[in-house]
Amino acid sequence: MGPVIEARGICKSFSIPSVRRETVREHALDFFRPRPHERLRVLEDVGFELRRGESLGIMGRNGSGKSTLLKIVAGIYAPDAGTLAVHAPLTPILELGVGWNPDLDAIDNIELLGTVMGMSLRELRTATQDILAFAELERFAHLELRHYSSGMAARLAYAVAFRAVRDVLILDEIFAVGDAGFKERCQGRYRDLHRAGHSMLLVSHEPRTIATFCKRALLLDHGRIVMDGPSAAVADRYLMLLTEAPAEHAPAAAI
Amino acid sequence: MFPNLVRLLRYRGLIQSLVARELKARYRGSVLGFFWSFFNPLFLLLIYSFVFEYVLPAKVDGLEPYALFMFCGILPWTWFASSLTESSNVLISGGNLIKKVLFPAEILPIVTVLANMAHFFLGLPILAVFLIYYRAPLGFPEILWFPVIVFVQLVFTLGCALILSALTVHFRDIRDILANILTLWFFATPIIYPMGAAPALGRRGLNMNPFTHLAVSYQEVLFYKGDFGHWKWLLALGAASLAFFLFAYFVFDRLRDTFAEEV
Repeated sequence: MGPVIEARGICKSFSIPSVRRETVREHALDFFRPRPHERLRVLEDVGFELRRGESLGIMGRNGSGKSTLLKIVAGIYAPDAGTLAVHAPLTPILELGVGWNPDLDAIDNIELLGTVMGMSLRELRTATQDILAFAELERFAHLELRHYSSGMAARLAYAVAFRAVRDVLILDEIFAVGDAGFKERCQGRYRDLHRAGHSMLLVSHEPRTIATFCKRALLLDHGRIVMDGPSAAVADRYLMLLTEAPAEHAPAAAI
Repeated sequence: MFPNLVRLLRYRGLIQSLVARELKARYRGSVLGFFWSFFNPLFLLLIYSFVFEYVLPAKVDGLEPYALFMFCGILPWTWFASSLTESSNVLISGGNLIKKVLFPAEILPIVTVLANMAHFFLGLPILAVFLIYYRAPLGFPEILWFPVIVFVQLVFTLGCALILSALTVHFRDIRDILANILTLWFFATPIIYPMGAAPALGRRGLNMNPFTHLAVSYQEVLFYKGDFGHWKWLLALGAASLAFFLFAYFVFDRLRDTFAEEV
């Protein structure tokens, strides 16, 4: 079977306005003049394959282009150049709790988050109790979300996200919330999904996470893939990079 | 463009859940809850009735009661104007959905229009009660046109909402300009005055305004005696609205890739 994701020669740059117009007068005078822009190159000629059933890690310092790459793979950004072929439905989890509404209770928010992540209403009808149980929030099912602690809300979001996984899971910086017990269960769910044959793309700063959950990993630096190999070796190389000179451009993570 | 339009059908469940949660969240925490959807238009109608019967008695032939005449136009106008105001901001306020989830952005303006349509529907019982109370000449065949008018307005409003939401991402000034345009548009539509009151030249101008034909259609079907003579205009507007919707969707589709980076 072929790979589920094939990326070739992906390039992406963002234009950032280099001169800010502050006053009304500047706005009025400069209105018809083209605004000077600086191109910030975030990804250059990035190519990789995600094989079916594989868990592939991506490492890199802040601003190395990890998040941008994930967003391009997920179809949120269009690449400037290069080709991307995706042969299976993706479930990107780039941020938790996108689209939830603090004025509604957990049941309603499970429906909101779930449908936003691509679940059907029928799937959700049967999944809601499981999700509440996984998040250990059955007692608070009818409590409005704004009364939740941030940890409880994050647990709910994780529980929905893991339930919504279609085929390929794309994760940005996970396993970062909840107490040890909940973290343990998230990691367990991750392993279950992997064992069930799902393909995974996992971004993390944490060398141990990558080494534990991935066999193979990529190392991104300054928008290029500088290493593609066994995850333990990539994690070592990443730690070496950290002790070297700091990354030249940092703002890419903010875009 | 057309594959994307077809893809929208697969997102029915998402649209349904977003509209339902939007309506639910709006009245969450208020004591009377959904009752406000009834009460707001009712209050408006009572004020109009009071003003135009006691304060400023308007006696125009064929426009009795005047408050009811106005209400027939204001209810759909509220749906239209709030949809546009909210959708001009919807991609910016919903930026996280576009940036962080695989999510067809057009769902946001569509949900805005549909949620406001639900409010319009909730105002209809009030209208119905007053129509019956004032013994409005509701004819049987004409009332069948009502859903047609609503549908034409829906298509037209969706087109406006798509274009507005897409353009506001790039030109944020639109939000402020829009408020003024809507004020002007309201008075350029025969809602608080009858079409017949306009002089010949003004009437030609009014005919260029798409919402004129919606307002007049609502008035003829709900308020005036006699047949629904405006149906040709309504069907023409329906065809034009469909074309306009496709054009708006095309514009939205072309700008789609820029949203995630701009909002």
